[in-house]
Amino acid sequence: MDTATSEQLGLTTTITRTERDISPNAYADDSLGITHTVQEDQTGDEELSFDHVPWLEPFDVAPSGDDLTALHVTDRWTGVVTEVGEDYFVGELYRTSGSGERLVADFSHDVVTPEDKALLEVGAWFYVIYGTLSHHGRRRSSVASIRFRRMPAWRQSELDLVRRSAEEQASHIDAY
Amino acid sequence: MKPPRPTEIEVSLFGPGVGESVVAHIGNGEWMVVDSCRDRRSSVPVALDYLRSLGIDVTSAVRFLVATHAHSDHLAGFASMVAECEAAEVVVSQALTTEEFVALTQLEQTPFHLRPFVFGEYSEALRVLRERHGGRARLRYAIQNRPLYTRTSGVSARIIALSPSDEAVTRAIEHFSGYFPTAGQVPRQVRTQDPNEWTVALWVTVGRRNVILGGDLTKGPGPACGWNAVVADDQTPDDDAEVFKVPHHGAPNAHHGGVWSDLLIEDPVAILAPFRAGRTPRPSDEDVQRICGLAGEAYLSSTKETPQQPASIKRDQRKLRSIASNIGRAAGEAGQSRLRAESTSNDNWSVELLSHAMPLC
Repeated sequence: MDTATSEQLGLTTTITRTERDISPNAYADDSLGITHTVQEDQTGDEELSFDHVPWLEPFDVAPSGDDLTALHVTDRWTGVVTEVGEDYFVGELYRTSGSGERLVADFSHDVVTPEDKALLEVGAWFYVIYGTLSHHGRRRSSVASIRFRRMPAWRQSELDLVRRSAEEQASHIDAY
Repeated sequence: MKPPRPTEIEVSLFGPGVGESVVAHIGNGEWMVVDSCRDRRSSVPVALDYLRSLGIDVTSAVRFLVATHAHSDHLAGFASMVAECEAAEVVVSQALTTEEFVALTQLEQTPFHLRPFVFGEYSEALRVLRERHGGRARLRYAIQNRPLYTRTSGVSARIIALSPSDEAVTRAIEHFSGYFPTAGQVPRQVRTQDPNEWTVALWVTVGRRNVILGGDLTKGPGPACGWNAVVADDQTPDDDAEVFKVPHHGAPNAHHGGVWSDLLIEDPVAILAPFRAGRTPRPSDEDVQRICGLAGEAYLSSTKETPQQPASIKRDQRKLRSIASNIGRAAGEAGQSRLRAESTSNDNWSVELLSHAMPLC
């Protein structure tokens, strides 16, 4: 659930959203689109067990489907698209696991899933993860994956709130 | 390091590969800082570090802080500068004082936004100013031909805004309104598509010396925006400037031949900072050729090429190489091109290239 508090926006109105507000083909913020259960392993990293991970298809490492394959995520980034070319895009990456510096990287359109391609534009946010796939508890391969963030559309009431906040903020500027 | 003499003008350009900051001594112990970038290791604005290394009391000696435009790569650490430089007037493009622009900054305050916050530094600077002035954020606005400062005591000085033009501000307001989403649209990072026409360029005179700080000002669009408007305007100072901070990292969309022929001396000193974060790093080889053909001397505040990556970045490169290429940190250590000259004479400028700064030609 995303909530904009009065403290953040300087107003008394509160924005509340739940996953029900998000379109059926979307997933909630930060879920990475995986049907997963989260367990803490001994290192504190998340252990994601999954039944299907369609976003792994571009890397040809689809799980076996016998529920014994697991992805152990060790590194996470959020990114924003800064430039889009005919067959590439440039993104800035910010680590959300551990510490690290801002990175800039080029991505081929080929690493974007067909369903994500419509989301690829300047300003779009995406997630990148890196981890290892294991089968029957034995490490099999490393995998990196990119997935675009699906966002619930703006509602008029939310935009009205932002407008009122802007009006309030601008009224406190003395330009001389 | 020794500070400049009261009668000396200094123009130092810092550039870490993304963003830039100009620190200028405008005589009589007064300073101006234009834009901000951070030291990669300490995260402190490089201008603060530098001024303190000279023994300058930044709380009182910095007279102006200028935000040429509000993008994060030019304003990294700007809010810290505002907080520390208590006596400074904060100068911004008139476009940034409008409600339409503030609305874009407020979009970033909603929980639907992820990093990076494009206008985060600007919003934070406003908050600092509101706290300082009893709830009011005092901003000196810049518009074409507006005198921002005139000093007649001691070494004379004047600072004039060369931009934005009236039309650029009008266009900016239209752009900002257009960028504001409508119901049903999917949130995106707040980003303006063509912002550089409304950025601030400055004319700085200290004693006999004239300098143009070009910000990121573009050539146009149209005859009444950008450098087109500056060159065509009768009120633009008649004198010729000796030093030119080349706009927009040397990109061709900010090049105007009339600036070099009409506003600068023959063979001026050109300084610029590289931009390494894009697919086409600036200055490109063509940019270098063009600038070196026009300037008597030209200096780059850091290398054009991405610097050697540390081990931590190399580890990330290995992890991400199956889905990405050219992975790296665009910003490195900020080099410094430092120009100093006696403001009361016509002697040559002394040039010092510190850290990774280098001759361009």
